[in-house]
Amino acid sequence: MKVVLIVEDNEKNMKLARDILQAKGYTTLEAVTGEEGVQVAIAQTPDLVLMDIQLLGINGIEAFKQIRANPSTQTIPVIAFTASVTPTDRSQVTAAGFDAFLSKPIDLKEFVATIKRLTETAV
Amino acid sequence: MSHELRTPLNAIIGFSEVLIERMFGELNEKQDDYLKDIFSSGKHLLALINDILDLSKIEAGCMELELSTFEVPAAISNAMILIRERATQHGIDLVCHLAPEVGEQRADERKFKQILLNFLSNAVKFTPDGGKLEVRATVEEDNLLSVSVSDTGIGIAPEDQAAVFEEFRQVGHHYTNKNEGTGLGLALTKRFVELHGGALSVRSVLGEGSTFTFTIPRQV
Ligand SMILES: Nc1ncnc2c1ncn2[C@@H]1O[C@H](COP(=O)(O)OP(=O)(O)OP(=O)(O)O)[C@@H](O)[C@H]1O
Ligand SMILES: [Mg+2]
Repeated sequence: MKVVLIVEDNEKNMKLARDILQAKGYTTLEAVTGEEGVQVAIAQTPDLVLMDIQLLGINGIEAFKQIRANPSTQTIPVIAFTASVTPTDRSQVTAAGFDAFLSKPIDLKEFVATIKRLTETAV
Repeated sequence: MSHELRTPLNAIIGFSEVLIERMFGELNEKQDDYLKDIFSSGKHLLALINDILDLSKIEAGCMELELSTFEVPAAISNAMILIRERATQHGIDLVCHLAPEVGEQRADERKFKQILLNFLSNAVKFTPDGGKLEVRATVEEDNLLSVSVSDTGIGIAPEDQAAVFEEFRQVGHHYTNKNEGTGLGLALTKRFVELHGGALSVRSVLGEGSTFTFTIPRQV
């Protein structure tokens, strides 16, 4: 069973992402801050990370960089998961090198398809 | 601010959609009906918030253009693809006439498409089944790129034609389905065109149809 780490500080967004993923047969791990997200990623090496961008403490982009910089997690695909949709926000996220971009509110079909694609190509 | 406004809507839209999709079991007819109302009202509110945020950004002078050089014909067909399904559902014919000299343009491509899409979605919305939509792009003598959308729809009375570009103005008496649209589409479209140093116009005959046109200075 594929394991997805959700890094998200909003309780309801977390619940929604978790419930969808579990209903689709994934195992989920959770972290509510960027720091915690990095720790859990390193400790558990999930198959995929779903990363909120606007987080307290280090933001999602910084947490993503730390995950990429660590040899044990550098190949894990990371999806940026954010409600910020302005072009500047988007280009910052794209420039950082995330594997995909999912916007909030969740588009259910796109959400499920993107996660499926990235967990299937991962080795 | 946008983050704070959108976050509660994410929950409303997201949770109602997973229920509608039967991710957690079957629903009865009423539940399905009400959930669809919650979902579409949530979407509507989100569109409204996005439009208002865009407008206030423009008014504060904070809206920046992301300029790039792109192929106008590709951008037009891109926008048309997004509307095609809705047009087909209503038996509305969709055609495009591109003058050969229409090629590349330097502009904000996303906004360019949004301008056209706003014209197109209005044209589909206000045209009865079996009508016809024509998109036309030309280069005018004074070096203006001109793009227009004509429809065979309900048309707009002369006294209402200026009002349609104002915020929250929905004209005519046809407007029964209040849930459809926010009345901000053309107001935003107008700002987007003006940010490009362009202008917008409408020609319309009540009961026969409308043509909305925007022109922007040609730049490559
Ligand atoms: N092609 C058209 N034919 C007839 N009336 C039109 C057409 N386009 C716009 N209008 C009139 O102008 C009004 C304002 O249009 P506008 O696009 O700003 O708002 P809307 O379509 O009602 O909502 P929104 O675009 O925000 O979803 C419409 O409500 C309608 O009365
Ligand atoms: Mg409109």
